[in-house]
Amino acid sequence: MTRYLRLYAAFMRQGLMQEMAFRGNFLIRVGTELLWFVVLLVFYDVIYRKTDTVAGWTRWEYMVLVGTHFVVTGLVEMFFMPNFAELAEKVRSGRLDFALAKPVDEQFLLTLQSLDWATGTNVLYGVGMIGYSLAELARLPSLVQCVIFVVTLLAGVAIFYSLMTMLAVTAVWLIRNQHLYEMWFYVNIFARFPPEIFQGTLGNPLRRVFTLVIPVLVAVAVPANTLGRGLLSGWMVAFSLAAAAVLLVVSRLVFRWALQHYRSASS
Amino acid sequence: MRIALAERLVYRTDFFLGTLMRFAPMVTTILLWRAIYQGSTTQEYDGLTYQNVVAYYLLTMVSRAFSSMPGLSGGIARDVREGTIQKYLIQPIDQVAYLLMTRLAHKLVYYAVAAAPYAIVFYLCRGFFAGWPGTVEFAAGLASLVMAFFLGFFFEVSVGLLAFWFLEISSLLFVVMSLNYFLSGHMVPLELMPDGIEQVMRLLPFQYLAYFPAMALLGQIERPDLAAGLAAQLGWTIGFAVLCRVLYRRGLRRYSAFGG
Repeated sequence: MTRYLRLYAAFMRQGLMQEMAFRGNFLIRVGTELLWFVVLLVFYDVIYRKTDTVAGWTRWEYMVLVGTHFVVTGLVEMFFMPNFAELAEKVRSGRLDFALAKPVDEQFLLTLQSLDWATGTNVLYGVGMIGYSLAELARLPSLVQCVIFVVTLLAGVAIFYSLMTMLAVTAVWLIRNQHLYEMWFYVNIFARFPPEIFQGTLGNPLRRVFTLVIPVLVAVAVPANTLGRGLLSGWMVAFSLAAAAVLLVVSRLVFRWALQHYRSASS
Repeated sequence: MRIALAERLVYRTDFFLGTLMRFAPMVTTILLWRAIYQGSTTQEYDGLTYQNVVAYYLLTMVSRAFSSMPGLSGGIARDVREGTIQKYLIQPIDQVAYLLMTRLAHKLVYYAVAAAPYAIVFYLCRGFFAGWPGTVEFAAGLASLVMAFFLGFFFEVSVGLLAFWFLEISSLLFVVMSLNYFLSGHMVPLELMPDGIEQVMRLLPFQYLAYFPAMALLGQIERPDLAAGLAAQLGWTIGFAVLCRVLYRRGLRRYSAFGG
């Protein structure tokens, strides 16, 4: 265990060193992430100039949700996305052999090796947004709520990690996986909104699918509900933790099974 | 033209699904706006009903299909940076005209193939439209769409040609893309913006890339404004076409000054 922790610390150092080697580029990327954040703020400002609640969420409650979404996706993009993007290239070039030959767990190495520090700034924007919104709401969450927020948020990250691992590992068969970031966008887009907007003949089935089958709707909404509105549905908390646990196990099985089908391209 | 068609047809299932997938964000947009309208007491914001807004978003997808030029600026910038632009310089053709013709061919083929998925989506969403637009509005909308193609093209080329001055412009392109998304009305119709911002946006050319053609087709623009808007759009299009020429000339002079 300590070996893996040491190894991970080395990954983080290496990632940071790589970013710092091109400092200008790093700053520009941070700036562009900020620009998107601002564009999104303008969008919600426009909406809440017109109405007081959206699907029962008041402005600053909704902004807690937006902030939580930034934290969750920021964490996924920072820690995992570069690895998923590289996996297909490794399969194609045969460089996957090197990873398999190393005396560490393959999934650990292949899904955690690279970090993208620049997108990590989204986590900071998200935390800032949450803090500001809570101040506007004049809400001081209790310790229990904070703990549940952190735990369900990590469960949300785990849900996204598992889903993207399973998508990325299809590269073993598809060799090319250029649509991975697009897939991430489509998986992600449903998590951005309160589950309550999914209503009606179109919305209801979508809500069920994205809660029970591909549980992205709980990934952001459950922690945001806990922190921003103090709404605590024990059932939903349990469900999101269970979903995360099940998906982690399933994605691990899928990952191992996929690697068994890998035929090296190098020899 | 034939090459583009062949290219598209090789991946036809992929393409068909891809086009349908592109409407996935539409689903969340529709649901979000329904929640927004349900949350308030009024039926209209700045003269737009819920149906209007959804119809507007659907039509901006059409105008974006005309005006967006994926990879154009980036491609030009790469040609300049890596020197592959020379392949145009030694051939007896005009590079901008060549790029325009390839884009045109690509777009025409795209419309031919994409018509089916678009028709399906618009048929499913027919409830959001009040009916077909009047003949004048329809003609004006079409004219505006065609101009949106040329305006989008010349604008993107102009941005790409900036690479003659600043070699690495990929982050600039990203900023331009984000601003374009916001200023063209692709994100929110101009009416809903705060008044000050709306005034600025109405003075800028970006609205003609998404907002104006969509609203014209929706029949939301009064006829005198429609004529004025079309004239302004034509003006901007010619303006950017000229700008693009000037930048190309100046840029080339600078480029050869480096010795190629």
